[in-house]
Formats: sequence, C-alpha cells, structure tokens
Amino acid sequence: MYIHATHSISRAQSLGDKVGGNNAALKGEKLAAYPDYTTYIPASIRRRMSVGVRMGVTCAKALGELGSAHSVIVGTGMGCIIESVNFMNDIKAASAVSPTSFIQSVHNTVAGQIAINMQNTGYNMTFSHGGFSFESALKDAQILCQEGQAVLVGGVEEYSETYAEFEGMNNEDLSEGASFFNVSSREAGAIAKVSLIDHLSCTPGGEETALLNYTQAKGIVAPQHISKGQSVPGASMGDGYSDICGIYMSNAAFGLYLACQQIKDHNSIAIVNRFNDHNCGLTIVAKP
Amino acid sequence: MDIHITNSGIVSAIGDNFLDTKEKLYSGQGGITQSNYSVADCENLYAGQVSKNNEELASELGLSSDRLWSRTSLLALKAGREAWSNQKGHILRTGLIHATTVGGMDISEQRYSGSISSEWSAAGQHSCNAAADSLAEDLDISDFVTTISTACSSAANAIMMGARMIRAGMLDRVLVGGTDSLSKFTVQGFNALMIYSYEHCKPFDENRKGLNLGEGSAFLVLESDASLKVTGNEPIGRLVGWSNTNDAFHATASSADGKASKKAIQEALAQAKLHCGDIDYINAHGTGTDNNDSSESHAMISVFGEQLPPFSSTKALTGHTLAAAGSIEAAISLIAMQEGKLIKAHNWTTPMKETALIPVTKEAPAQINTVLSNSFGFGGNNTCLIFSK
Amino acid sequence: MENLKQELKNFIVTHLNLEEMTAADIQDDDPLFGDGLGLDSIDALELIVMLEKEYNIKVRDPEKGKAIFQSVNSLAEFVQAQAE
Repeated sequence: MYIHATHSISRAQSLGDKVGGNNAALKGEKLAAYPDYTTYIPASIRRRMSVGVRMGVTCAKALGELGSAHSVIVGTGMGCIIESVNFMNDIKAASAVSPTSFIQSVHNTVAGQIAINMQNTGYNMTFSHGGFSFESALKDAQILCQEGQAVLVGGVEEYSETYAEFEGMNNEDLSEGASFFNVSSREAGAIAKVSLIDHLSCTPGGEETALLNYTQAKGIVAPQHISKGQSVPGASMGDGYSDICGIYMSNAAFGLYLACQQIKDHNSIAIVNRFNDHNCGLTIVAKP
Repeated sequence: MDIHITNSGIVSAIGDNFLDTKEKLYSGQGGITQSNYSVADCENLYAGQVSKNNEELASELGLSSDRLWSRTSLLALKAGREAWSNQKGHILRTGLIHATTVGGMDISEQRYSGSISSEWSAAGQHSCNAAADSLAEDLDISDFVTTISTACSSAANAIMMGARMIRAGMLDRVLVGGTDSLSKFTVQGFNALMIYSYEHCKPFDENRKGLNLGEGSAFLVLESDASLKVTGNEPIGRLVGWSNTNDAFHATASSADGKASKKAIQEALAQAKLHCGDIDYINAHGTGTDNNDSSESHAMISVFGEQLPPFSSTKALTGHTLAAAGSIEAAISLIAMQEGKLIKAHNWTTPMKETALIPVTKEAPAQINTVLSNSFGFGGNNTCLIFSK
Repeated sequence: MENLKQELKNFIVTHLNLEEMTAADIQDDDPLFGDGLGLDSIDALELIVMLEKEYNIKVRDPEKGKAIFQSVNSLAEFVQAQAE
C-alpha cells in the first residue's frame, strides 16, 4: 500500500528539522495548533462542526479531490467526545438536549462529514477500537487497495478536559489531533510504502525483542528504526512520537505521518504503538 | 471463494438465544413493551428490551461480581459465546470484528450523574473496544480484534469486513457481529431529533411516527473453505454479497430519492453476481421513521421495479437495536431461510400513500434461498448484505 | 418587544454557533430558513431547544415550529404570546 500524500494537525506546529529534536516544550500542551479553518470550511458549514470534524474535514480538503474510486476510512477511539460530554451534561441537568450534540456523538460523524464535504459516495468506514483504532482503519485501507480502491484514511481524536477528569487521566500528557493519508496500490509518485500492519504481543519493555522475534518468524528484514509511542496512558514508552503529539487513542496516525517525513533516512521504520498492557500496534513503513 | 456461515448467536427482545428466537419470531407477539425509559413528554417509552437484567446476565455468564460490567459487554459475551460454541482451539487465523455505538455508555451515564458510586472501577468500559476485548479474551481470539462504529449499519459492516478479510487471505475464520444496550443517552438523543415514536412503531405504514429503540447482540461465525476442512463444521448458510456506500447528503437524514441506498443494493447484487429476480425476501432497514421508510421504499422500487420481492422490517418486533441491527437481522434472515417462512410486518396496517407498497402480511411458507438485508445508518452509511442457503 | 427581538437574535447567533455573524446582521423580517439565513431542519430542532432552555417554552410539533420560526418577528410574537 503506497502513501501519496499526508496532512496532519497536531500540537506540534510544523516539524521539518525539529523532528527528533528536543520536544520538551510540547509536553503538557493539550490542544492541537488549529489551522485557519476559514480557508477550508465556510462559516455556514463550520458552525456545527465539532473540533474533531473540523480537523478531519480540513485534512481531507487539504489532500485534494476524491475520485469516484475513493473510499474514506477513519480511526477514532472516542469520536467527538466534546459533544458527547455536552450531551451528557444536558441529560444530567435534565434540560432540553441538543440534537447537534447527539448527532456528533456517533463515532462515524467525522467520516460522514468528510463524505458530505467532499461529495464522496463510496465505501465509508469508522473503526473505534481504543488505542488500535488507527491501525484497524489502516488495515481496512490495505484490503481496499488490494480490491483496487484509492483510500483517504486517517486518525482523529479530540481533547476533552471533562472526559480526562472523568477517567482520572488528568496527569497524563494527553492531547488531540488528526493525521490523514491518501493511499492506493499505485507505486508511481508515492512518498512511502506501508508494508505491514499487525500487532505485537508483548508487555512493556519487551517491544524490541518482540519485534525481532516477529520479523524473524515472518522472514522479513528487521526495520532499522523503531518509532515507539503510546496511544493510551500507562507504562511509558520512553522517547517517542507520542512525546511530540501527545497521548490519544488514534495517535499512531501521527506516528505514520512522522515516519513519512523520516523514511528518507532509513530503509524501513517500525511504528510500535502500545495500546494496552500486552499489545502494541505494529506498522512497518518502507521507502516506496 | 465461498464465505460460509457456520453458527449464530443472538439475544434480543424476541429471544434469549437462536432457538428461542426461532420459536418466538413467528409467534405474533413481538418483543416491544413499555419500558422504564421516559422523556419529558412521554413516560414508559416503547422499547425492545432484553428480559434479563445485568445481574442475571452476569450470573449466567459466570462472571465475577467484583467489577462493573457494561450491559453491552454482557450481551456481547452471551451472544458471542453462543455463536462460538462449536469452534475449538484449532490452529487457524482467527479474528473478531465487533460493532457498537453505545459501548459502555449505559454505565458511564450512571457514573456521570453520580448514581453509581465512583468506588466501582469502570475503567476501560466506556470506549467502544471494551466489549470486543472482553469477548476476545473470553474466547481466546487474538489474531485480529477490532470494533466498527458506524451507527445503525455497524454490525452489517462488521460482517462485511470479516468476509473481506477471509477473501483477502488474511483470516481463516472470524466471529462477526454487533451489540448495543438501551441507555438514556440514545433514548434522549432520538427524542431530541423528534424521531422516537411514542406509540409502538409501524415501519412502512402511512401513519408511522418514528422508531422504537431496542437492545441486543448477535454474531455470525464466518469460515473459509480451508477452515471448514479443519473445523469440520456444517455451514448453515453463506454470505454471498455485500456493499457499503455513503449518501454524502446529510448527517442524519437519507436523501428522499434513496439514491445511495439504491447504489448499495445494486452493488451488493453485482458483487454476488445476482439479479433482482434472485432475491426471495428483503429484510428491510425499516425503522418506522418518516424519512428512512420513504427513502428506502424509493430505493427498493428503483432497483426492483415490478420484481420487488416480499419485504418486511423486523424492527417492530425487536426495536431498532442500532449497532446490533445488522447482525440481529442477519440471524433473523438465516432463520427465515431455515424455516422457509416469510416474516410478517408486525404492527403494519396501511400502505404508504406515496408508494402503495405492501410488505409481507401473511407468514406464508415460501422458498427462501436468498435474502437481502439492508442497514442504513446515520452519517449516510448504507450497507447491504446478501445471504444464501 | 424590541428588547425581546434583540435577545432572540443573540440567542440565535449563540445557540446555532453562527460564527461570522452578529445579532446586528439579522433583520427582523429576514426569512430564517431557506434563502434568508439558510438554516436547516437541525437548526429548527436546536431553536426548539433554545426556546425551552431560555424561555421554558416547549414546542412538540416540528410542523408548528415552521410557522413560529419564519422570522425574528414571528418568533418574538410567539414568545410574547406564551408569556401572556
């Protein structure tokens, strides 16, 4: 599966030469650096969009027109959590409840809004499997590419202070963001190749060994560079991409975005994303 | 390559398991009753509730009572175990693709409003993956586990994804299905959209006033030819066609002409290499809302014209089970094929003036070899599945 | 009545999140739906929520809502009538 273009919105403004540098300044930054939405989405449409929908639709628009053989897949752990919380507040207060909040509480809102705003009527899917949401979306994209489709695939997550408090995650380095990719099975013009999407069974600290065993068992060359991160709070993965973008369920998408920037310096990169105590998402990116 | 269905598990307002559902489906009673859910303008809303409460479910499943279980997880475990009951620990690439919209919202809303003590750890129960993770651990499925969340078409999409992964050579067998439990969140939400009927819903009826929600869980087991050779299971049906399209029209409403739904039906037929005349029965999405039933009717007329097969919605029996609908209705479609009997449109009396369509009114015996099942959800997400004997 | 109209315009802007507009941009007799402000069916439901939250007025029938939400004028007349 080949990546042709990417677009990302995160708390890291723009990386370029800063990739791999000291990202300590980013730590604790909860909100993404939002672009000027007026360039992408007219006010009359934007007004009803939650944070996640704005980020997702902007990424989609930044990546250009979707052809008729295009599909849209989104991975999101919590969907539009801000609006869901607003709705729960309304219920708790026993006041009239907002239909707009309810509509956006459905996890496939971002994918649906991308379809409406890009006028795309093709395959449209949303995966919501905690910290493995993005890899699930990518897996489906891989199947679609095999089936001859081009895919707009991405990960989106919102930061909600109320929800963070509710789950007792206030002390964690949480953030939000959206990273999207135009993928297909066409090699010409690609910027990177996704050669494998799977998961690694391993406990914290055992990632490198597990990866080595995995690649040996599969008879593939072990990637030169391992890009580690975590999509849920818990055992620290050490220095990794989640230090740059923050912790949120679909941040493996940011890991892939970063890998696309870095692939010129390595033969292949393994994005290892810890999403629970005994599993990591594994995405291997290679030069196209 | 055939996609074989080798078992099914289901729990809903019209049955505790597959056999129970088979008996009750044609009993004429239906599972919608006046529930404990109320909104400002209507107490005791009509809904399709699973009769067992959480304690009973947990006890039946032999689960520990020292942790909090969301109802969604409980229902998923019940139906998932039933479906998986004829599988053994064979060396096969095995997956689980689940679907839910509510997730653990049933507990979360109680924790949020303070009616459950915060001593109870419900950590990890809220997000959509909780039920799938619990079920995967329970059944020891680990090669690929994920959750789809596309509102009303979720479980149908999970079934479709499972089939595609088998066809792509990534999995040999896969447990696919969906679950949703009733919650204040969804009841209030549909009421806020003014599409929750304060009467017993009547899909495709001229005087319909909206939907009634339901809850439940259902799973299918899909196996490849190679998997069958290892497990030795007898297929109970096949999944022969599937499709997913998007309306790209509106966040909740379907376009009046049903264009994208029409495309979904046509693509599923094309994928199955079938013609209109090959479909013996349509299990419609038929929620009972003004918009869906109108849009879906136009889509069906547009595709089938004079050849429109017998059709009915079973949501007047089960309620609209949201994410679970696609798999609950898949199980119901299998039952219809097994029993060779059409399913009556429960609570229907008057054809819609705009189409004059008449759904199944008599449970006549019929040769039902192939069934089309529609699931059209919020976000314009349309999925069609075609099942065959 | 003028105060009420001003108040309603402010509520329309905030409840419907009309980002690039202010109350001053809405004329009393501008059609709110269709060609005027371009609001849609979901906005109609949100305005029903607004009436309940801000004025404790419940509108149960969306069809009735259409007449009430014609313009700020019709909306103000309706709210005034409920108060009496």
